[in-house]
Amino acid sequence: MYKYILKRLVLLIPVIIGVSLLVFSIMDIAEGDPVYQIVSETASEEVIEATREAYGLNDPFLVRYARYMINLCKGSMGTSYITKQDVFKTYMELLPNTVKLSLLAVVIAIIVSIPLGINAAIHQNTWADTGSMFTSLLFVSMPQFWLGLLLMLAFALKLGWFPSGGNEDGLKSLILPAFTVGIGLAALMTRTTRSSMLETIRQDYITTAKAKGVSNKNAIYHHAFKNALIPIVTVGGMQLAQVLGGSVLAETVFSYPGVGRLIVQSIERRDIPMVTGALILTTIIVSVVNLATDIVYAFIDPRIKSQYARK
Amino acid sequence: MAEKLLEVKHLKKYFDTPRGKLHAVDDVSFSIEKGKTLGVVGESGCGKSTTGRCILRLIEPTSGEVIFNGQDITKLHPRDMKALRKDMQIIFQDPYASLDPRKTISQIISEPIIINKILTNKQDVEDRVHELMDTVGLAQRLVNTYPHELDGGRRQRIGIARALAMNPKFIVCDEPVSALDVSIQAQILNLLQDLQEKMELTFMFITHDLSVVNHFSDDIAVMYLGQLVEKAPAEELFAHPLHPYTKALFSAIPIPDPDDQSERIIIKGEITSPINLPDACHFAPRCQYCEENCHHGNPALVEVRPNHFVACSCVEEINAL
Repeated sequence: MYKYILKRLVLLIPVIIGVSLLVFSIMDIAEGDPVYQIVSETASEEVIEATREAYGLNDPFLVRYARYMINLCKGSMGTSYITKQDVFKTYMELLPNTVKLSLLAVVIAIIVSIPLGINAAIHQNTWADTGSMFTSLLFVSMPQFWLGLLLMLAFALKLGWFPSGGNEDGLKSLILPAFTVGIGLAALMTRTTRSSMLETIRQDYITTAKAKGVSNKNAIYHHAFKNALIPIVTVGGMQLAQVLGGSVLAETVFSYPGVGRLIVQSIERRDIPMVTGALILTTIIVSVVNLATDIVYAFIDPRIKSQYARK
Repeated sequence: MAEKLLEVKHLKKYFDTPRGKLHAVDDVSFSIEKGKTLGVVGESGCGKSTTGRCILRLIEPTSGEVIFNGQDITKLHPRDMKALRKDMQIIFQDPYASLDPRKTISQIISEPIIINKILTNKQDVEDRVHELMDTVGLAQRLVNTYPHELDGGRRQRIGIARALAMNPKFIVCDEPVSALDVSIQAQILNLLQDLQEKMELTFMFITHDLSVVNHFSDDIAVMYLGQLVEKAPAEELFAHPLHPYTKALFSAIPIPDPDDQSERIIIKGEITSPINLPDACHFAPRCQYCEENCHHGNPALVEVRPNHFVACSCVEEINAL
């Protein structure tokens, strides 16, 4: 198992190289000269040229990329063109906000979706099933920014229960963005839970459990649900990775200072070191969460555990 | 006459489908004496398994009575039914699907003991699990393994140990060997037979393998489209199959003799859909002896020879009785 984890971590290196190369090329191809973000637009030709030279912007693409990668290996992600702050430090300052938002969103999603999905599966083709499937379809299809605006209108403007943005009020300012993200996640997870449960409650070992005298409720939770967990954990893990990478829309709507908003703002400002650094860090986080999901499988399913042991 | 352990009267199970009522079990009656084995044979989809599951109320029957030990269990409250489950168990066909893949062997076998509070002391439960594993011939070292680590024969032994855990009186064996290799089939069948002798078990043995049923049963019931078409003691049935369907089934048993010239009866056509059946002999559309009056009224089981029941209106003409 440790060997497997190590192997997965080593695989991260080519992924990071690929991601950084991709980000570098796209930023290079995209229009807009980053130098105007550093000096004012009215600066003289000499100043601009000197700045270009100082930041190495005149060097060929591959030289710039190689220089970045060498610095990265030395542990430096460079400084932002705009704020002149260290990229790594800026990212790490915002990361806790995004982690809080993501975790709360995923917790909301789990609390809502699992009982709903199980209930829908047990009462397949009844109004309870149709109702929850319709609701989840509605929320899956609803654009996140719109849902965010609706929640903001209702709970921030009309009722005034929660602030409409920022993160000055601690947990209170986290609630609306977390629900905005969480409800979308819950919708997908409900559907996954339902379909996965439908598969397991038809299995022979559920009948076996009933023949043993296990009550209906216990057969569903102990035998069916635990066996239905793999697809649910897969979806949950993917979703967590996705929101940890930044819930751009929710963070923007609620002007919540998270990494998603940081990345979008940096792209708009052509802040190449910031974008590249932030995306590399996000890649690492997503990969680690995926790895964690794979490890969780082993605890859920003994069959997978024995496979890891052989690797 | 020996004591009847189980008596099934007019058992029916209909499923609602978009195209109408599906007659899975259609007015089936039989009884099994204590310590005996009733073999139930028939082709796939004839309602054998559904009958077995209705008897244990794993599927609720539509109507009819299941009298077990003098008590009609179809009307029992779920709580009383739970107590009765100790006495009635089932062994499933597919030992790959019938064991929860997340539980170890010891968890699978001990679960019924713990749930039904037969033993409460942890050490007693453990001892009992070891004893049961011994009984079915599973090595003690397998106690903490998972089902996927074992082969089909061992898995089926777990299924049997689990069924035996509560000292049942009656076991429905729902095609317990059809998913196993031939070499392992014999082992499992012998194990079941030994257990029957030792523990005075009563079996309802569901199968489509006629040589297995001959080897195993005291009485045999032949099912076709949810109904019993013939029922007789095993020897009698193999010596004198009377119903055209039974005759066809028996002629399909391969005989390991290259010079055997006996003619095969090939049943024509497909099995009739079990949805919205007409009031006629269900086998008539495929029967080579079919007459006009076979299409009017569904024949009931009639005793044509001692203890030999047949549901066929032409049985006397066909067999020149």
